[in-house]
Amino acid sequence: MSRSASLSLAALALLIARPGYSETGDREARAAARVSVSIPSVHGADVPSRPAESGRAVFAASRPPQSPRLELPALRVMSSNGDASIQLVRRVRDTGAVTVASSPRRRSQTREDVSTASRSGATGWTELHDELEIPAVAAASRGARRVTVIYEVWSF
Amino acid sequence: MRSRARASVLALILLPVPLAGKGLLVSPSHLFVDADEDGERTLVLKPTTAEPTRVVIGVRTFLLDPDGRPRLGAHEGNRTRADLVTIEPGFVLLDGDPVTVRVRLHAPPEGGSTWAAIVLDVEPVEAAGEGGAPVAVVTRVVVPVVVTRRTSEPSPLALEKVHAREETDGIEVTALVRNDGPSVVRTYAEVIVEEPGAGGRLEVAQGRVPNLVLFPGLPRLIHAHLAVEKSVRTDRFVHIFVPSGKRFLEAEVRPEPSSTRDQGASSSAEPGTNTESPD
Repeated sequence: MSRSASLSLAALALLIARPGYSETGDREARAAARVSVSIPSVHGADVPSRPAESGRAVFAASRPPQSPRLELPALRVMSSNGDASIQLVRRVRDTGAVTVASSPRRRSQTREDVSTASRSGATGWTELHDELEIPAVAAASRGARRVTVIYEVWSF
Repeated sequence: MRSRARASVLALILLPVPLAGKGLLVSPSHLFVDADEDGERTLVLKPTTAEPTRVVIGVRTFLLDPDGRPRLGAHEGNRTRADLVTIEPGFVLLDGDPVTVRVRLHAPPEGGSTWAAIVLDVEPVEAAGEGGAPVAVVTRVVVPVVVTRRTSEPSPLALEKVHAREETDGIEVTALVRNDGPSVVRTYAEVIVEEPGAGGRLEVAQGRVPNLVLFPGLPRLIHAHLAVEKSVRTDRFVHIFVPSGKRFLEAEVRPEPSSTRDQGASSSAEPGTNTESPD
C-alpha cells in the first residue's frame, strides 16, 4: 500500500470515527450512536477496618462490625439508535444502582436530560441476566456533548 | 511489518473499546452506629490498581424509595442531613496502598436516627465510544451512615397491603412495611405458604427477605416469590411476619388465582398486628 493510500484510509477512518455532533451545536446530529462500557473491577468492602482510637470511641456499633463483600457486575451500557440497555451478568448482593446521565449541553438543559435506571429488590440484587432500559443514553446520544456513565454502588 | 502496524492502529480507531472505570475498595461499606455524643470512625480506601487514583469525597442526603432503591440528594429534612458527617474532601491514592480516612460523626440532637451518605467518586476514565462520542465512566461507592440516639420507646412498625397471587411457577407475595418510629430498624421478613393437612396446617414453602432496612417515614415494599407447585386447592394460606425486637408483625392472606387479578379480585390482609413474641 502506498503512503498516500494509507493516509487516505486513515483520514477516512477518522471521518467515520469523529463525533457525530458539531461544535456549533447541531442537535439533530447524532453522537454516541453506540456506547459500550464495562466496569469489571469494583468492590464494596473487603479491607480490614481499623477500630476508632481509644478514648475517642464514644460510638458503640449497633451491630457487630461487618464488612460484607460486594460482588459487582460487569456492566455493559449499549445504545444504538435510541435504544439503550444495561446488562448485568454477575451476582451482586445488597443494593446496586446504575445511573447514566448526560452533561447538560446548556445551562437551561438540566433535569430532562438526566435520568436514572436502576433495579433492586427487597433481597438485593440476585442473579440478573436481564436488561434495564436507560432512556438517558438515548437522550445523551441525541444532543449531549458528552456522556457520563456513573456506576453507583451502595451496601446496607 | 509497517503495514501490519498501520492496520492495528486503524483497528483501534474503528473498533469501540470497552471502557473501564477505576476500581475502589471501601471498608466498612456502611456505618450504622448508636451515639449520644459526637464521635469518630474510619474508612479504609484501597485502589484496585497501582496507578494514581484520585477520589473525591462528599456527603449528601438520601432517601430510599418503596422498592429500597436509594436516591441521593434533594431530600434535606429533619432526619437526613448532610451535616451529620464531616470528612476530608478528597485523596489521591498511590501505589495501590490503602488510606485511612477519619469520619467525624455528629450525634443527632434528639432521639432517633439521622442519616447521610458518604459519596466517593473515583476520577472519571475518559474515552470515546463508537462514533467518537466522548464518554466518561465514573465509579461511585456510597457508604450510608446512620447515627441513632436510642430512645426507650420501641419503633412501631406496621404491615399493610399484603397480597398473594398464584402464578404458574409459584406464589408472588407483596407487602408494605411502615416504620412510624424515630429510629432505623434492621430486620427481615419471613414468608410461609401453608395448607391444611392431617393434624393441622402443613408448611409447603418458605422464604425469607433478609436485610430489610426500614427508615422512619419511608414505606418499604416487600416482594417474595415462593416456588410451589400450582394447586387447585383454595385453602392455602400465605403467612408473613416481620420481627422487631421482642415483638413481631404478622399477617395472613389467601393467595388469589392469577386469572382473577384483572377482574378486581383481591386477596389482602387486614393491617398486621404487633404480637408479643413467645421467646
